[in-house]
Amino acid sequence: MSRIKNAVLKVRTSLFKGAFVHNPVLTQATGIFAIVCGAISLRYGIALTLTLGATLLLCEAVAVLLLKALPRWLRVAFYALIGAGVVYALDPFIGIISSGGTRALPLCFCLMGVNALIAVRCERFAVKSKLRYCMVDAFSTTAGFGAVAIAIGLINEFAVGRLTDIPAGRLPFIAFLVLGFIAAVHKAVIKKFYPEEQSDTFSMRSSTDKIVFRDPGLGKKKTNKAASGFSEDYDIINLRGAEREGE
Amino acid sequence: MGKTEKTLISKKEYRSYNTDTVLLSVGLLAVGFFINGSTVLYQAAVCLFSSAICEYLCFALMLRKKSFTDLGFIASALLIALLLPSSAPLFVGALASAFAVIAAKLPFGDGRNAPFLPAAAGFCFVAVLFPEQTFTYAAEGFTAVFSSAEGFEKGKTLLDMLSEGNSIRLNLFGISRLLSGTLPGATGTTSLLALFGVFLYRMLRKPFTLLSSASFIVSAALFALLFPRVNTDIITGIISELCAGSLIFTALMLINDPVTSPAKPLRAIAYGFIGGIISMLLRRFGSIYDPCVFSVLIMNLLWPAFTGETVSNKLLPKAKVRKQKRSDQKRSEKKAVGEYVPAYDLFSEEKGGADE
Amino acid sequence: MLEIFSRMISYALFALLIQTTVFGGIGIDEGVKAAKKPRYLFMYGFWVSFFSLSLSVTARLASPLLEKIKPWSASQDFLCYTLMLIFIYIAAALFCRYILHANRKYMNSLGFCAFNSLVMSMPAINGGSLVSAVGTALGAGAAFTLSVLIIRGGMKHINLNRHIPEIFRGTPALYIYISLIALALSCVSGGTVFI
Repeated sequence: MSRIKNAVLKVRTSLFKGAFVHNPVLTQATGIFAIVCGAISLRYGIALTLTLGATLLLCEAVAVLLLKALPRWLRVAFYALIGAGVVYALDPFIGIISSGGTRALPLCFCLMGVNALIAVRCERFAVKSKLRYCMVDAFSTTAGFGAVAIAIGLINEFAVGRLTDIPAGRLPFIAFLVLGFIAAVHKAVIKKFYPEEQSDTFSMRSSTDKIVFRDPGLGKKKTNKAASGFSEDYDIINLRGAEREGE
Repeated sequence: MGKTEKTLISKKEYRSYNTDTVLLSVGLLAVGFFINGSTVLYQAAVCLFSSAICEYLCFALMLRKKSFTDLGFIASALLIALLLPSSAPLFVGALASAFAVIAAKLPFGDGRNAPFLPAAAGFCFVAVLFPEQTFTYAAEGFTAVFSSAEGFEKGKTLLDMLSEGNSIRLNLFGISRLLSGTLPGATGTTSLLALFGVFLYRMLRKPFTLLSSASFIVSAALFALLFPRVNTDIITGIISELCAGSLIFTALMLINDPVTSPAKPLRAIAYGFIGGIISMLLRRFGSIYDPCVFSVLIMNLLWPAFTGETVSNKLLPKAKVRKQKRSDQKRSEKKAVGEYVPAYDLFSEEKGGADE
Repeated sequence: MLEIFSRMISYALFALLIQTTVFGGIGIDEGVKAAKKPRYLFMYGFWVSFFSLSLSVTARLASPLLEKIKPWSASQDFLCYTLMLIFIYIAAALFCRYILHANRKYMNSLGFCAFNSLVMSMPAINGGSLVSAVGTALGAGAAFTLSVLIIRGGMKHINLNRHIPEIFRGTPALYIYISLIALALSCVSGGTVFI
């Protein structure tokens, strides 16, 4: 029972840290395109998030199960193909969401298939990890992206839409500006409540490291080459052969 | 530790420039008040108030000790008030001033470190969001009212005439309108006499600042000479292009900002020259009615990209800037080749952002 | 011939100066990533241009065939373009690997240059003709290089600026810098590429 509790706690911590503390958009500067071009309303923000979630889940699963043996330069082609396939499968859904929108928006959804975030997460994490950790990572990345996309969509729809007659999608600089301030607020919160994570926001040493998984229930150590900066429940050792300085 | 290299303009120089800008702006506002009435003063007051409130709140929130004595926020607010029409709704000026402080100044420290001129950024913000309110000028005789008032009549500016292939006649009446500033236009941009006064003041106080101004105007004049829009004589065409919109105002008050413009003479001339060409190109091919201020922002972003000279290192000798660029590149390469750089490790040099 | 060439140049200049794809959002992820490695800038620019051009030309040549089959939606177009790009990419990758003997790092960067939103959006952005496809693709590659240079200038300023408040250091200041660039360039394009 305690083992399950611990596992649930670790998953929750991982989800929280992956989505919030190491938010892909606010700290990693990936997935910006979709938010700037596509998140022009709450509806589109939610739709983009769901599209990304489906694509990322499938790409990470395929990467961890089938693509590990391939060279990296070939794997990226598969991610793009899977992404295009997922977008094609979600086509009716995209049609419903974007009906009444401009002709740009179906293209934004299609381009989610080649979102840099997918390749980054698959290469940084999925191909070095196990399936269950990948699922957690995919959910946490999607949640992090979705939080930002929905926030920007809300602001575009209710603030920008009421302030001016110009459609929100025509003003990419507003999305970048709002992203910048949200990132600043995020950083202030991390500094206050998670100061030990703060240095990770820039140097992100932990994200490249081998993570030693501690299971208090069993009293055993498991080594896992996962990466998402989990510093609370795991000890961190530098992956690239050298010990981290000072440890 | 070693001697600290001076890289930024000094606080004293910055304050001195802002003081000059404030004095000149007050003079231009007085002329504007004489021509356009009390709406000019309301606009300036709202811009000042908005700028002051935002400055105070932002720096209080950041828990930073803020000195208001550098007058940067006052200079920005007055410049914005001068660039707007006297009949513009008051919220436009308030928004522009707020944007100048919150978006163009605060995230980069203070006015001495801002990569973009805050007043230009604030004006461009409202020009994109509210083009109609920002570029609607009262006709002669309909001043001292806001554009939302009943019976307001929109005036035809020189820019409108030029876009139709017309220009103002350079007879006594036309010249007197240009000199006095009674033509429809933004508050601080129409009176040639007042702008000449600005030129004289700058010449007496800081002649170096006129290098970029002069090259800005010269390049715009050359462009007008080579690609005229009017079918009358060359001189009329050139004078019309130069007097239209906020070109001369931009040259005298914005392009020569010591923070964002180069510190060395030849570079300042090149900076102004390219800025002038860009503003004329934007007039022909851009989507904004009066894009001269946008050329200031474009130069602010292009100059560091091509010369490596930023606000923070422009006083360094060229060799040191090159050395800095090389070590910057080597550091990036080292991380790219030897270490696995996380995708989000964009600013690995900063490492937690402690103030060195 | 001259007329075709001048039309191509005008499309390229339009894509380079007016469309402002990167600061409208398309390709911004890749732009930010490329700005981190300035040494490889021209390599990225070259390959982005190459893939944009190849995909645009292939899509334009294949479009009459695709239109005959049945009415297409955007996602079906996208799937076809992705397949085309994969073939082009594999051919280019094999060429680099076995003819040029490119190293692993170079090969990894190639994927980033090929599969990105800027390249994939080219067939949709291009006008109806082959000349516009070629011109726009070349202009987009040049625009990408220019955008990365500009972002690099901004990054440099942010790195050198010791007075940036701590909560704005890094990504927040970069986003705000890019927003001001997009604001400055909105006078040219009037907004995003499509709308």
